[in-house]
Amino acid sequence: MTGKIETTIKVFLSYHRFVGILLIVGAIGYMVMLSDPQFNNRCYISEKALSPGVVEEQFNQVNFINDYYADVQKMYTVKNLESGKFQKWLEEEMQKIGLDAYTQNFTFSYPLILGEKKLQGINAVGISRAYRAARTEALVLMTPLRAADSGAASHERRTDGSVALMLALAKFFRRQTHWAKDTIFLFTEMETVGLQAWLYAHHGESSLLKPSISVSDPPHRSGSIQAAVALEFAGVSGWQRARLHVEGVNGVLPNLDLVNTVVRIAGKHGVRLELHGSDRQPALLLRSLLYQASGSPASLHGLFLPFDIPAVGLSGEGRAASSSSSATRTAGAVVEAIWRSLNNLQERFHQSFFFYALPAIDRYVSIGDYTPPLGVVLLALALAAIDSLVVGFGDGDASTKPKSAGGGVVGPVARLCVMAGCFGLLALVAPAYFIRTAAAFRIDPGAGMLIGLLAVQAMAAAFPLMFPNMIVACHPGALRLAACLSLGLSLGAVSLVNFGLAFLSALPLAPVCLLAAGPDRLPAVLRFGIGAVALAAASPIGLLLGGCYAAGGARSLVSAWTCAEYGALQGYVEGQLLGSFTYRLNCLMLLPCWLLAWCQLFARAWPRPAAPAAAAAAAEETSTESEEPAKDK
Amino acid sequence: ALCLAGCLCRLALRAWLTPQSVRAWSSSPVESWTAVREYLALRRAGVDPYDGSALHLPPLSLRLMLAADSLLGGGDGDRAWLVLLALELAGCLALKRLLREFGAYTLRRQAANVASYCSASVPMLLSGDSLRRLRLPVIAAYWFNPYSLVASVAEATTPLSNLVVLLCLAELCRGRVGFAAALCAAAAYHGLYPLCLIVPICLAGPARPALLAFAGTLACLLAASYMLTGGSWAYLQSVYAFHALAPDHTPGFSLSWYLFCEAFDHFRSLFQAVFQANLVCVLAPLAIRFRSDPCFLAVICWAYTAIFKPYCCVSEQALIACVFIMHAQLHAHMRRALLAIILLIVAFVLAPIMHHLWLYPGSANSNFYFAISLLHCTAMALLLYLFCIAYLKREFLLHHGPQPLKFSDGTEAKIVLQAPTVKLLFVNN
Repeated sequence: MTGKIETTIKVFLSYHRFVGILLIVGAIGYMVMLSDPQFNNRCYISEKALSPGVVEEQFNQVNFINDYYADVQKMYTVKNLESGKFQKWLEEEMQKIGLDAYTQNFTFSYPLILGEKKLQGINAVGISRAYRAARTEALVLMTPLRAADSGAASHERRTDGSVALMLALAKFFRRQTHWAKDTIFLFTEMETVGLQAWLYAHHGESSLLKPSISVSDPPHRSGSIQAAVALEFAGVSGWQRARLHVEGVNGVLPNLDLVNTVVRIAGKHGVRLELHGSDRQPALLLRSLLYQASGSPASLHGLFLPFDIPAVGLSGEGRAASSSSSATRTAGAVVEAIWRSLNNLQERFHQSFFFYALPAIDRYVSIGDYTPPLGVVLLALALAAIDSLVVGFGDGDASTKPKSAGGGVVGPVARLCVMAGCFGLLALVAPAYFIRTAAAFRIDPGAGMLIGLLAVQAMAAAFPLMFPNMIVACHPGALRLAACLSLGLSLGAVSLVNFGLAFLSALPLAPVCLLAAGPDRLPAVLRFGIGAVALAAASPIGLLLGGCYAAGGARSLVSAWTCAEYGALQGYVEGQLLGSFTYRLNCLMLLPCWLLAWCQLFARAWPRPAAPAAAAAAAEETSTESEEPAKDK
Repeated sequence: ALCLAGCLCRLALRAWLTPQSVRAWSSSPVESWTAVREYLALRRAGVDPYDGSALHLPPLSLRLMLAADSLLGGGDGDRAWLVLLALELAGCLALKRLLREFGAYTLRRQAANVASYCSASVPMLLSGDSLRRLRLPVIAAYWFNPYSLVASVAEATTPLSNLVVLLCLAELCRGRVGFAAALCAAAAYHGLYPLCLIVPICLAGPARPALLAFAGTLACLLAASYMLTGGSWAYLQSVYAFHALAPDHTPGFSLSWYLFCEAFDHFRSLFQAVFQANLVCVLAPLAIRFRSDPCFLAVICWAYTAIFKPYCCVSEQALIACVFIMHAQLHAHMRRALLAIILLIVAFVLAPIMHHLWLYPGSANSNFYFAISLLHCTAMALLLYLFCIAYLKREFLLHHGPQPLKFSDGTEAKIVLQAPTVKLLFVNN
């Protein structure tokens, strides 16, 4: 009876490649299916205290906005911003309103890209104190300072509208007495740098920012920040259409309740919110996974999330045909309503989901629904691993003491794993040198880095040719076990930090890892050729180039190259400045796994000579079998 | 060269990671170098250091490390990495010595027992050569073990107790019971739990002198500490009671914090008793089963307490791995060791991730991190269990001939072989 079951299992496992591919295709199908309204749920508010949209908004002071807007238009120039005159003006205005206002200087130095140059910046901050409670909790309303002279390319991205709106709201909020939390009005310069400087200084951790950013201590502080909203509006009446940004650094998402609150309130006021600028179903889900995978924040709000502060970003899309006073009023009312809602919070956001995917702005897929596809992909890898375990590591004959032969098999594979890890470390450490060398040759940092990474990738690809003995010494089954297990473990670990990254890299990597040995029926040359092309395309750098090419509409190779340059550099710099893990995970987990799969291809192409290899394995058995627990990490 | 490479590896890691980032998820309160700094600060402030709640090292160990610190040019305990690296190097020498003594001990024991072995088992016997060849992998397994790397980055003070325990094991293998007992006393003085080593030591030789040496050394050490702390027994409370009662529930790489956090207050003493009883109760059956091989028994006891004590130390896990590797003859009999090793790897990779997710983005919670600690502990226990079974199986095979027993039917032979293992399993538990 047991014999029969065993044979059945063995027969089943012998089809593991076919089953694995089916599973992966099924996973993709499942993921696409999740974007269909039948398979996801309508968002709901878990935290009853929020009760969004219940209050009647009192904001009616359109003239506040218009007055400030007129002033801002006058003051908000590149020159004033650089000299700090604009920030001084903001500070004075906020002091007039009655806030604890201050300006904060910071210096940014990043020798790798900026060289000796140091950039100076100034943030303006105003804290509106709570009337109704001890000042232990705060909410942040922020906007980046981005001036642009009219006609400049960046004119569309200027933020004069949100600056005026925030000043008007500050004035309005001071007249209302029901605030239980401080509101911090934050105007930061130099995009992420200024916000990063303020966040660390506010939390008393500015020493952690050295050496790249140095910042003065703030004269006024507030309590623990409960939530933050980042606004980016050009003009004051762009509120009919706005884009909601959720993804933060490393693809961390704000609590779903905060998102729901904003969406509900926007809906109540007839503001059309959109996500990632797309409504078509599978594309939207794919885009949110891509945003997550990139690890870079979708807007400035993303910097709050690593501090355990839920935050969303709102930015204006397009321009309203004419600036009407009702649209301007809506702008104030929406923020007021959000603030009234957050003001009700009695404890930190904890009720609703932290892990979710948004197939539409008002629908969600919970973690329980979207992890199974990745689980299915991992299952395909696990099947392959189990198959190589069951077949055993004996030479040819599976029944000859597979366990005692295990020691001799593990040594070479462990050595290969360590080598693969070394390549990952190289890719992690080397970019600084690439960029410096590129600077010496007056090449763009991005180009230098991409060329360097291509060189590392080429070196990794050439590794089996450089050390054929290391590959030949490995038992193909053991190599397959190591490749599948390490890929499975890496993907599982990455999925905890960044699901999008794990899923999107699993889709190309898992099938090529399964098929690296190739179906038996094809002629060897063809098998090797197809495998090599598929693996090269699935390598991290291949994915970057391919992704850029596809994102550019598959039109021009040059623009794909530029985009990849920018992407690689951005990943690396954000890893250093914002603590994004994407670059590190790619280097330390995905690249070594890819290299193991690549070695598998060669192990298959060079069948190991039976007698010498067995002898070598026997000789190594005694010397290396014991290194396994130490090295095989 | 290995040691040098290991040191370089540690320095490189130190340059890359800060002690704080690693300490958070890997260190336990009993082994943190911060305690040394705390001691200095409190003493300078004129407060009895043992009045505080952060210091859990006995006075003599502290003085030793501070003396080493000032010898190496530090003043305020700021040469921690240098002191600990020196201790690790000394530990490495002790490991080498242990390997030598262990080899000699194994061969001696084999020679004494060879008469009772089955003649067909001769190929299974060990040679001095095969034992000597183990040295390199064992030492490499210590220096490049992720656990010991992590411990050294976190500035854990465990290398000191590791050194003493290794010396004690070496003396035990050599058969010098008195020295072994004295060293066991020193180790127990430092960290309480190596106390269990006294059982194999007593079994290895005449029990009375061993016990006398143990009690004498311990009394001397305690008295010396009493005098050092200016005539106060306060340190007993904050060192040994701390080990025994585990009042600090800072999350770490062990199981006690979660258990005691979850337990209702009025059950706490019960849980504390059970936790300690779990450690003590196993000693007796292990001692009965493995009494003929005190060196193996010592390794098992020490590994068992190192896994299950309330505050387990990451660096000791590395040493357990070394000890497992040292018994290379058992590897062929360890079935499913691969599973345990994979589980350990999974636990090692996921622990920092879970810790990060819990404390920084707040997207996970303490249960996630504890699950990983539990996984680690389970895998270690599984490995230890497989290790014991492999030992028994090997002994059985030595006495009854190696694997393909002379039955006509292959499957039947397999079943016959299973039976004693299962039976032994029951004896063991």
